[in-house]
Amino acid sequence: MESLNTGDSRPDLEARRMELRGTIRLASEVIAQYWPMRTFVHHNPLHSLEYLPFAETVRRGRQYVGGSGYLPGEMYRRYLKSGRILVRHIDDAVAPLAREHDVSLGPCRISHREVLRACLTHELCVSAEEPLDRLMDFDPNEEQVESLAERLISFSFPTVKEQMATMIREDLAALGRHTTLSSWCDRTLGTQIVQQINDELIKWCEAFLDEGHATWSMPKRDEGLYAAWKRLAEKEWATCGIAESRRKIASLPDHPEDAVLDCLEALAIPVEFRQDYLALQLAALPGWAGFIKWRAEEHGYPWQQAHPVGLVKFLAVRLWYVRELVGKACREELGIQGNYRAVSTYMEQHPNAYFMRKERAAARLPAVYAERVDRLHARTRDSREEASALSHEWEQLTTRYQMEYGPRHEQAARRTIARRLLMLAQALEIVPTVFMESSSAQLKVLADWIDGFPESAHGPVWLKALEAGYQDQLFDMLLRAPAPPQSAAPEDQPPVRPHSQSVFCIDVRSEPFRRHLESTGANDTYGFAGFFAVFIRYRAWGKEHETEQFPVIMRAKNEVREIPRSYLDHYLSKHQSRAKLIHAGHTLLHDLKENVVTPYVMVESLGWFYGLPIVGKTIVPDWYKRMTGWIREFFVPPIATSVTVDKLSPAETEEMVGSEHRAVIWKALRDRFGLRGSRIDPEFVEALRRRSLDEDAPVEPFLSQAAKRADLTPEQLTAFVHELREDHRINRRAAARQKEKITRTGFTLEEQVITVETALRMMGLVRNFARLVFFCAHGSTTENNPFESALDCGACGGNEGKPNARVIAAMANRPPVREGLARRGIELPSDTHFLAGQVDTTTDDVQLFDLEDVPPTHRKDVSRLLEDLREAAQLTSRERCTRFPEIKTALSPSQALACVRKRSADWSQVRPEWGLSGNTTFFIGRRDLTKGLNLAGRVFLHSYDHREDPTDRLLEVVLTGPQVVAQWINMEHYFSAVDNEVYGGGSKIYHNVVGRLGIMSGPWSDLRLGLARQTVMNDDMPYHEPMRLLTLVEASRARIEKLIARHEILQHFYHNEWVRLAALDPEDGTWYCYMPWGVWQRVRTFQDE
Amino acid sequence: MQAWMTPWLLIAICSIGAAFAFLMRSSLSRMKTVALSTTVTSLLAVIASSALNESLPGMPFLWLLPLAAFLSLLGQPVHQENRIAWLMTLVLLGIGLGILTAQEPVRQVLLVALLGALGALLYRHHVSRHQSSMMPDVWRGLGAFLVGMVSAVLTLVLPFPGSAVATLVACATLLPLFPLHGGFIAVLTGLPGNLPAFLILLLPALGFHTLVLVLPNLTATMLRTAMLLALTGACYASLRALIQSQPLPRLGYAGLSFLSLLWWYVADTGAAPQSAAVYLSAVSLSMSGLLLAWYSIRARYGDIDLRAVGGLAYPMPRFSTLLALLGLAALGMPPFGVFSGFIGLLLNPAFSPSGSFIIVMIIWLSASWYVMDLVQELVFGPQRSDMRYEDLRRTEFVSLLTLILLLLILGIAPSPFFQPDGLMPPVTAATKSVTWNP
Repeated sequence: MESLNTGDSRPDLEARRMELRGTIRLASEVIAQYWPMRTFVHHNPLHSLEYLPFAETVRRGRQYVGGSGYLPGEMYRRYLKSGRILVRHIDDAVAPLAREHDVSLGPCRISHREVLRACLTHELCVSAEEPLDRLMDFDPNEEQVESLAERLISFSFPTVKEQMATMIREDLAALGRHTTLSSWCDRTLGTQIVQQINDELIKWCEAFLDEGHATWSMPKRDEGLYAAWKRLAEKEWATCGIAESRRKIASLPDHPEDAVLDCLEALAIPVEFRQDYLALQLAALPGWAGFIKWRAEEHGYPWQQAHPVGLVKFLAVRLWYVRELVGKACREELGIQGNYRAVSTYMEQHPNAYFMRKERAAARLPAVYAERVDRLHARTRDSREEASALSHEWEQLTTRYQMEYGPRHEQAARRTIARRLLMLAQALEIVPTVFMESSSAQLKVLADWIDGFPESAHGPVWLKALEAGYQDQLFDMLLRAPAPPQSAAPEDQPPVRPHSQSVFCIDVRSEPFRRHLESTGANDTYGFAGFFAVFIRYRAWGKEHETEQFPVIMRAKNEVREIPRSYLDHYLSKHQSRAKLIHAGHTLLHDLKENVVTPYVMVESLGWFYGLPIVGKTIVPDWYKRMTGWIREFFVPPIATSVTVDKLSPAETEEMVGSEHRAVIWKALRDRFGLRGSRIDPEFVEALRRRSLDEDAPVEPFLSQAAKRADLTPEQLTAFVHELREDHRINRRAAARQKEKITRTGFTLEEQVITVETALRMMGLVRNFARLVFFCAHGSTTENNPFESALDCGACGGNEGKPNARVIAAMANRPPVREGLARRGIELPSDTHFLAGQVDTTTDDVQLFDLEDVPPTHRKDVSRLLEDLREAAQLTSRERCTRFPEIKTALSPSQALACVRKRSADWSQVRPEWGLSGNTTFFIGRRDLTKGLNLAGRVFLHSYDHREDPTDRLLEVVLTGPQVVAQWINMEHYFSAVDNEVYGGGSKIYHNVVGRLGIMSGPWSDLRLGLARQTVMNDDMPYHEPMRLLTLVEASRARIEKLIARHEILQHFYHNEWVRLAALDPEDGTWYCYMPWGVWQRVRTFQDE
Repeated sequence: MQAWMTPWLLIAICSIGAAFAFLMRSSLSRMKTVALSTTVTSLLAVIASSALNESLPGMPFLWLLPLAAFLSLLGQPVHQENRIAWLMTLVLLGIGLGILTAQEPVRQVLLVALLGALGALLYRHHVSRHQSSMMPDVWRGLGAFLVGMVSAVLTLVLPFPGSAVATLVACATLLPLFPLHGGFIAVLTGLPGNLPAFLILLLPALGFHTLVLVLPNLTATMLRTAMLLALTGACYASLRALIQSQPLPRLGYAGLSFLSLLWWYVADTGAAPQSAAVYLSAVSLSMSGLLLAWYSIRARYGDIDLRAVGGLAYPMPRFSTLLALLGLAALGMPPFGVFSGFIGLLLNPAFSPSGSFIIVMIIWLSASWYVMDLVQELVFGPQRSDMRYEDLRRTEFVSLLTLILLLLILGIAPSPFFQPDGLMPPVTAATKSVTWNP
């Protein structure tokens, strides 16, 4: 194959490559990044298009990935039937579309608005096809339909020729922009090229992107996707039946950009269509392409560094298949070239053949005509007759089809209209005879109104009605709430000191827990993003990898490690050796399972052993879990740890690096020369270290002597030092890197003060501190659940928030930090102690950490808090159990607790908890406004006191940080609920983990994008009512407007209708809604009206 | 009652019924009731005749045919397009019962009449529906029926072995044998209403009946030729069934494939044991069920492409369940009749496995693919939002359910209906113990 290199000069080529990369970047807007499942991040699957209005983005989503942006009309009608949507909501939502027209039929006047409403409520626009020659019993109810259809005889319908002309006009316009050549072939010739290409790409992506799941990994991955594919695919015997595939692949250009450009040239895609065309190619596999998009942007990601991949490479592979398979299909089936020009010409010059083939492929022809088309098509294919020679026969076939079926189609269309008109009569409670006696012109107007409002246009109206229904209910509650809005000045009167103040994540699951905790006594609660303003990378004790404990839209510069408490030195080695033993056992079993030979023996010898876990997990999951936990703790008892909050001084850093070096040298001496403890002099080790770090310095005499004492010759010594430098990385550069890394650990005092202050100020907790302030993170415990990180804390990057809670509590308890806070105006009483804990959202169990740091004076307070937390957990479990569909009766608190624990341990449970399903609203304001209200776990509650934020800086942070995260969560749930097959993850029943990075349905599919069906659906109705996020802010309108003007993201949210905003203006204590066109409207509830 | 009277009585009942139904044509529901009553009456007449005449030939097809006619009529919607199918069902039932019970030469005359009626019906129906051009399958079908008619006439006039060959050819047009299967395929794919579902039992039953009669007269060469044609036909039919995109031809070729196996067995062993009749009945009834099931779709949505429907499991659960069961029965899963019939054939002492058995197994495996593919296409997949789904009505449900029960009975306890005792003696030296008796 001729490469682009031949004809182009070097700078031109580079410019073209650069231009192509830009085009691909723009094309990739239609797909969202796909985070690996171990850090599942809720996000909007159409996130990159948020700069467009919501409705337009939904339209593009349909165009590119084929997803629906709204629930089916049938589901909205069920909401209407159940009273969740009221007719007045529909009337309000439909008002902007209604024209001031009406039609008089006898004594009745029917307005356009009434017709539109009937279309929504009575399925008038459901386009049920009338069968052409139905043979069922004659239904008496059909008599009216038939007689009204007779009256519509004057209506005209497009003939086959007219339909053909329209189809060709539309298809010509869509080719390249909305339709790829491969889809064109599939739709016209009945081929399955898109599926074939997808299957190939899935095969290659699955193998290439694997992150340690595969026992045998794909070779040549270090060369990148395109090069690795080339190296392996050119060895395939027959790639998709493409002739000479080996030669063709071998002759592909080395640069993926060149390969893409070659293919686009060969496919003759016009330059102005290329972005759309490439977008369509990416959207064919949005999961894999989305993961590649994410990985390509994560330059520091170890797997990306090892096996580089990017969308250009992905497209280079994909487009090669497209070019070859489209070329093959067009040549063999139509005798034309497989490119844009040839295909366009074919549609223009052979309209009859094209029309009939397409109708055949779409299964729209009667069986007898399908057979005739097949026969004629076979003649084109087999006899190699010129397409033009058969044109006449295609035309004859079309004419015959029109003659034979044209009248039947017209009759069917008349019946459809008649049926709709009669349904309209029924919806408007008009007797059908009125319609029978009306003129066809009047009926035509009504029919046109119905046609003009097809089911596909109903979604936005239904959505507004659904949102209005919820909004009414919520504002009614808020207006009934007892707490009056406060004035701009803080209260002078000191309030009563609460027993405790607990800070929970803004996660909607915290709302019921907070409500119940408040109900147990004088416990105040606050809401704050679950990372508590602590941006850290965290490495747990005994773990090799760090977790990123902050929202994915942020970055962290501090690291925190979990280390054993200092008094455990003597116990530590025992713990470590046991943990190693367990780890080695696991590794051994894993290797035995994955080896080529050993499984045969292992099944026989150890297979029965696996029966115990199977039986235990299946029959007594809760008991089994407790038992295995107990055994684990028996063998490897947990150890008390602390977190490294403070930064190390330079001397300490130096000492830490030195210790690590010394340990390595000591081990190397033992391994290399068999020296034992007594023969290794610490000074000798230190001298070796110094020598390794400074190769320019002369050899110390002491080192030579010590080496001699250890029976090492000078040559051995030199070789050993070289080994230490090269193999064990004990050299100056590596030491500098280590030191730099260590200095990232912990926080400076200033950083600690700022962190604590930010957290406290943002949630308005700056005075009246209780004796206990409890930072409560959250996590979850589930079995056999690849989506487990989706249940953890989104603000902590899909991890549990325990480290963040421990770090902030540790910071806030430090006297120097308190002094710093005092200087900044936050006086923490000396008897206030900060405590860290974590609630398990699956079991509602609460765990407290670092209790040994609690002063003895606070034991009673902790004990009381624990009691209250336990009670709150039981009440929360009981409330949650009422939402599980299979639990029909009310459970007692203890039963409820047992029930949720069982769900947590049950490996067959597809719905251990509802997670964030049901979320609707993001509330930014004082808890007083919502206290006591049952918000049903649907509201993100972020504490904010506008009086503590004179500069709006805190509100700005909340609106541009936590609100964005909430909107991502909301949109993830929204799209997963409205079209679970496209935007969601499908049913969990078919899920398979692939490459330790994502989920496939069955053994072979695209990576599933969003949430599983069981997470958002309750049977066939959504549990998560799909509505856009409603943000409620307690702040003045002017201040909010200022922030909107300052931030583009906020403009996108509110003006493009991604988020609805309402504000409680402290000036007049009134709720206002922010309109997409930038004005505020007073919230009117049903009672007002 | 005299034995010679039986065929005339049965023909008369059906003819009178058909005439009466014709008079009732202005009221479709009455017409259907008359047609159903006629089938019931003919069944009662068969039972009465068999009680009076112990050596009544043609059992158990004598009772199976009226039953199949009844079941195929029962599920039919009351629609004027079905009138001709109802009338012809009665006429063909009468002729069929006559052929089973009559002696020569009346049998051959009735055979000619049957083939002539089918040819005429095929021609008329095709011309009325597709005025313009005749489909090749129809031409082939008419040709096959013409050959069958000529052969039936030649049977009467030619001496042995010419008459035996002529009879064999005639019965090859009924119990389809490659390359004379055209008529069988044409009627299954081209006739209206319930006729395909009825004829898929009637034609093979009559063909088998005729074959058994002529079997003692067939030479080894004839049997070998028939066996080769049967294996070729089975392979050909399997391939054709695999590539069909529409259900009717797929089922037609599937029927041909399965019935070719019966030809192969009879030609290979030179015997027609009781299990051969079980096998034939079960294959025909299961195919009949599938044809009726497809007809219920066709009645709702017109003559549409198979790919235009799908995802019926949820909106049409009764239909989907029965279709899946019929599919399983058709491809020979236990406990249905096809399985037990085929196993019965294999366990018969007359059968000794040979190399050709591998071909039979491949044919069977391919059947499991295309039959289940048909079921899968209809039952699974996405639903269409623009289609109004309506599950089986009561009569359709009863009709299909009864067929499944019959298949179950044939699979579990065929003996009461396929009594070997009292039937005619064995026909070849190869199998003298348990053979089919016409």
